[in-house]
Amino acid sequence: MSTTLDGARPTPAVGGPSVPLARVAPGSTSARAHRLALGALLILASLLSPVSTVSGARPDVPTVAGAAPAATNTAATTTVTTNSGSPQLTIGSKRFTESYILAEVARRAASAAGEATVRHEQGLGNTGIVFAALASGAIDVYVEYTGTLAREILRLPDPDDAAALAAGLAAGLKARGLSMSRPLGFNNTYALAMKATVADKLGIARLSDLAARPALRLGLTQEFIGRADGWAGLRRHYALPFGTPRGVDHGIKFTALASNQLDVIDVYSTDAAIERYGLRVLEDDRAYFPRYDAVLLYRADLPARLPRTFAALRALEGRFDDASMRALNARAEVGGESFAQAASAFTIGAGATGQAPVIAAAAAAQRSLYSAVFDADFARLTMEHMVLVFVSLALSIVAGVPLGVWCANSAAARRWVLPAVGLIQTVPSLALLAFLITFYSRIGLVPALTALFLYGLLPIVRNTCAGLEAIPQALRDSGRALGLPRGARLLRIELPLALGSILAGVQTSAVINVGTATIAAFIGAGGYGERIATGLALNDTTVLLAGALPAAALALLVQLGFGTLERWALPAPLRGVRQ
Amino acid sequence: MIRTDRLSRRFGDRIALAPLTTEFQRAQVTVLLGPSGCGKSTLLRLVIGLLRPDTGSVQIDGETLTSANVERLRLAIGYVIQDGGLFPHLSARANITLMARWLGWPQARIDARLATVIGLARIDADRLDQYPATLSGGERQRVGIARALLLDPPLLLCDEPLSALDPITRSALQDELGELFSQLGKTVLWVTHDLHEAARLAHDILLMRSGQVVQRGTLDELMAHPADPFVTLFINAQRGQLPVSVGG
Repeated sequence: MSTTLDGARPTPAVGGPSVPLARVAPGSTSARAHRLALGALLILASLLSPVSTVSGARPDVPTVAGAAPAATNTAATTTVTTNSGSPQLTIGSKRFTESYILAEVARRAASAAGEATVRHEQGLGNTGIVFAALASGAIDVYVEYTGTLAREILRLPDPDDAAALAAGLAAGLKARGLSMSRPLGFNNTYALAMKATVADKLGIARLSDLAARPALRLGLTQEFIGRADGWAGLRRHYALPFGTPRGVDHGIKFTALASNQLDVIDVYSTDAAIERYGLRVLEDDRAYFPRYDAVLLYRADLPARLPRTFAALRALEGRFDDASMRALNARAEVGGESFAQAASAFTIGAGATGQAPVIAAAAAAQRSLYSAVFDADFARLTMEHMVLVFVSLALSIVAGVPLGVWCANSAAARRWVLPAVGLIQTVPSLALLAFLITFYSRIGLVPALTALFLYGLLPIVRNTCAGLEAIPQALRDSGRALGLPRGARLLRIELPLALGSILAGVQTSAVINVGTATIAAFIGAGGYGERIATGLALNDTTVLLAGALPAAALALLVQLGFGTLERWALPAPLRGVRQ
Repeated sequence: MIRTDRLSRRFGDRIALAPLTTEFQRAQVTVLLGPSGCGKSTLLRLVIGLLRPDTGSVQIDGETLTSANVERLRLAIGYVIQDGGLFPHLSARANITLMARWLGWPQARIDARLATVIGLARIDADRLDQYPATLSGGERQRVGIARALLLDPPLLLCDEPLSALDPITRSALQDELGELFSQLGKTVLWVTHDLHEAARLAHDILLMRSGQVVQRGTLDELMAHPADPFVTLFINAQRGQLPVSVGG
């Protein structure tokens, strides 16, 4: 398993099956396979969502939003209550600053309505995952962009005019039991940007100028490379002379540009980093990029279910412009404010207020790694991470050891079970999570544990099977000849003899889980991944390390712990013997 | 005691044991003698049910061996193989007492029986907590024998138990075991390719080749009246190695 950052890879199409850091790119996944899988999952999600919404009374699925029947039209009957009796609204966000902030703005507005308990599931993933979460009912609302909706999600043909586009969007969403608000007011389109100094030297101001400069090095986020309204269309539209560009993570592309590793990157037009890094946004002189007006995308039953909350959310329409959004983004990314703090700078009456507190940025940037690691949430994140790792590990052991025993005793099981658990390893974690969100109609701990459980199976099943198969025939015969029944031979002789191998498999599984568990943060299950996600979204290395270092330390501790366990659990002659 | 009725087994095209109908007498040491691959170990493994026969059956004290009763019948059979077949994760003590513990004997009974069998197999009590890997080859073999004797089975099956030992240890154990078997009155089937070992232990010898019993009898009978040139060949091949003439 590779642990390199996606951006550090020579080609964008190579994606390891479970590479935590490679998966945290905001709006970017680590491989084409992810996008393919997610495309399929989007279709799946849209197929499944009517089922999960119409079958409103699913007592086994306590997730609130998803259980509300779309077809019912009185708020009283559709309001699903939690144990505490209060209806819930769950807001989702994608994994980049603006989405976090807008979700916080929406959370504040919705909470102020006083009608529902409002939760913000932070940074669920890229478009595919968040949309799947909405379609399945795991969340009720999130902020989406019209261009993404039209081209990426609904895959509408290029519309003739704005009215045709609006009609196409409305129809496409209605078919999925969803609806959208009017624009919030700003247009966060994709754009390509260069360092202003380099652009000036080369005389590049417009996208069409790039055609004469084939030697420029492009670094684009995976999502931009892959999406229908991204790189492929842009290259055709402008007849650009570049091959497949290098795929880089959103969180590190600015650093790469600043250090002259790249010449051209993709940005969002409200990106706070544009000013911070002194970038020149290249003019879209042949009008390729569609409008990316931010809108609230919500489940169609929301207005009936929570009318006052919905009205409060609608009050956000038209309240933003590009500059105010950029200012809010800068508060988080440059000013070092939390997303909630940045969101609090926005008030319905005045829009975003004040300037980004640039002075605070220096203070935030200088925050020591030590204090970032042992921040107030350290104990909570550690506990969450441990729960993710060890609960899923326990499940993997409970299922994996019997499967390994079965494989060792049955050629048929060996032929089917081992390849099956191996195949799970090759499913990219984001794709697996997207599927599990749809499957459970919920986000958070349950799908995260399920994914980790599934990834943890292979080492345990394989090592159990290999450990048992490596027992010499003479010893098996001795056990049989003594008159021990099959079960007793397994428990008293064969499993103890294979224990070294089994423990090694469990250890591998645990160490892998510590790393893979960082992805759980993307579907709201917490753990150190929260910091990694935030750090990448903010392009803040300190925060990123504050998540990555404890995870690495935990992996080391797990490794050491298993060394101790082996000494304790294995009789002397079997120590260090690993088949 | 033990009867086989048209008992046979093939491995692929090779006949490991041609149909064999015979009996082994109570309280006698019967040696299955012959070169490698002659079928002597196959016969032993068929008797204890580690192999399924292609044809025929095994009867132990009148009871035909089946998959339903094999585990119960094995409690009345001690099985000793090369190097003892000891479980490496268990101490010598745990190896010897494994079945008694499995059968739920009270600790006092286990301790008493352990003391008896280590006396019979001449094992130092202070070696009992060693794992097999830290025992000598001879000690491992003694532990294997003690384990086989634990439940006091009337029948012992020994599959070349001494062939991995050095000549001095082997010779000592042959003498000891011969004494032990006659003292305890065990019915023993002993597999070896070693004519000298057969001479020391056997009341009765089955000389085998290619899955067939070539001749059965005492060593004197085999030497005096060989039924086949192979018998003479086999005996003469090993007689030359002996320090004194076998069978006087």
